[in-house]
Amino acid sequence: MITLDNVSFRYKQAAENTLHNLQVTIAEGEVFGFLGPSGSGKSTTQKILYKHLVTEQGSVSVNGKSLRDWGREYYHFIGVCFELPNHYLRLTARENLQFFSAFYPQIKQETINYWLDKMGLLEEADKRVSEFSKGMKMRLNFIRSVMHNPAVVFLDEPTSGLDPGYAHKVKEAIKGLKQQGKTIFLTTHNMNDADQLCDRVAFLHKGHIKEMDSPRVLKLKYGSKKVQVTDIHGQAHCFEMSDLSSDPDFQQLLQGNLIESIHSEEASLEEAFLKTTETVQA
Amino acid sequence: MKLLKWDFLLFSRYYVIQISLVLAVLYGLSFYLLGQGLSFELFLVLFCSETMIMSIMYSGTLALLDKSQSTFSALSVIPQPIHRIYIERSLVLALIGCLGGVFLLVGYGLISSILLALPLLFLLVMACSLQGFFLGHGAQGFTDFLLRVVGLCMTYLIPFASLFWNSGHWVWWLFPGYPLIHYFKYALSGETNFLSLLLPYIQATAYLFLSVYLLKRKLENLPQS
Ligand SMILES: Nc1ncnc2c1ncn2[C@@H]1O[C@H](COP(=O)(O)OP(=O)(O)O)[C@@H](O)[C@H]1O
Ligand SMILES: [Mg+2]
Repeated sequence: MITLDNVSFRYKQAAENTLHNLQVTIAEGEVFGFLGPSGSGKSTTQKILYKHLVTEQGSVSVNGKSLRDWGREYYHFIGVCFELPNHYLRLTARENLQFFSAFYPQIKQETINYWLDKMGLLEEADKRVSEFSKGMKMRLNFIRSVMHNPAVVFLDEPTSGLDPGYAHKVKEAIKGLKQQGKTIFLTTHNMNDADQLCDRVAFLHKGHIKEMDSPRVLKLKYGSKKVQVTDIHGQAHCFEMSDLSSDPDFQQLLQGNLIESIHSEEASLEEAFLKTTETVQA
Repeated sequence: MKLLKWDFLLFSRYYVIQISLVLAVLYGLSFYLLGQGLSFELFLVLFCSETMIMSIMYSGTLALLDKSQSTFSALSVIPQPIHRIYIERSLVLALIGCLGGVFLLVGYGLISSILLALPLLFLLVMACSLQGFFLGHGAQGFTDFLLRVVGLCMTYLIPFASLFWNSGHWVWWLFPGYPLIHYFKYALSGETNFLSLLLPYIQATAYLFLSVYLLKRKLENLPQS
């Protein structure tokens, strides 16, 4: 559905490239996560994909058509959820959505209400956006990006600035979109979100893709399962799951009946990410 | 076209409509109450500044607003070419400008020329609005915009010299606001002929198209961030 072929990008005044030879293919219906610390080039990649930036190096195609050949109808096909809120502050939430829906004949009032409700904004829909918190504005961003029912959705840090309850709503909505078969390109620096949502992720570090695979495979490859043990004196210990049978300290605790609790910890995507980017620097 | 309604709402929330109507009523009432004696030349300067120059300020400010609230980036991912949004907005501003113009003309007692003057005023104010959008989107910030807009406004004021000096010289036609001056001068002097009424329309239309073209190019080449 989305193909980036050897894409590099340099900002006009910049000394060096922000993106280096990105090679990505995203299938239809896939939720693809672009992970990286801030400044790694996630938003830049998104901007290229929604045609705010144009690069001469490499080629991008969406739905089998080069971005160069897509006209304005591209914006019927895709939806964009910006990293920062951008609304008319003196219009209400509903008016903002109605204003933007004027460009899409298919959007009905019910659709707007449905999304306002789903994102927990229905009660505040008739308040001016200037009175909104950052989190509310971000949820409004999200609604605007999906209300015209696009086939491909670009989400730039959709859960940033949201408290856990609303982040959960957004994540549920993203899962809902996936069920409808939408292709989703998601950038985030939140590894847990990515782990929960994405079919595949790419680790981006200083504009280079360091790894790309499903979260499960990456965790297996780089992460290790751990066991957290608390002994009867309240002391915490941490062991590698794979070493348990041979670890003398663990055996001692076990045989001496000194264990109060044991928790196994999943290998985390974060661990995998850190390992990938560390090996790069070394 | 469905958008026009939203533009009106947007403009009223940012008080563009209210400010311009209050100003126009204030002008109109003053002319009316103060009675005869305001020189026609001075009336023309006020008329031009209230309609054309104000619309440059309004549209420039609205463009800056779209930049500062980042709504411009939201507008650039909609299926409509972005310059069309601004053309529609200039239509709305032109309507508002014309309404204001009517108050001034009625207050000054020029009711008979309203009908012929309005279409010309519409073209001119619309071009002014497009030029304001052009300046606002080209400027780095408000100070930058102010410097540029002062320059543009001067080009609207300079041709008033034609009321006293070298009137009818072709050079005046180079100034974008001149058609209004020319029109009123001849429409009211009685020496009307068809050409002197047609020329202002031709010039105004030419400038309108030029403004559309320039704005379209500016919006296409704007670096997005
Ligand atoms: N308009 C710009 N001009 C020059 N450099 C920029 C611009 N925008 C972003 N950058 C640089 O590009 C790099 C990547 O930025 P960005 O894509 O926003 O990162 P991320 O979204 O991953 O936080 C950063 O080093 C940033 O400083
Ligand atoms: Mg970013």
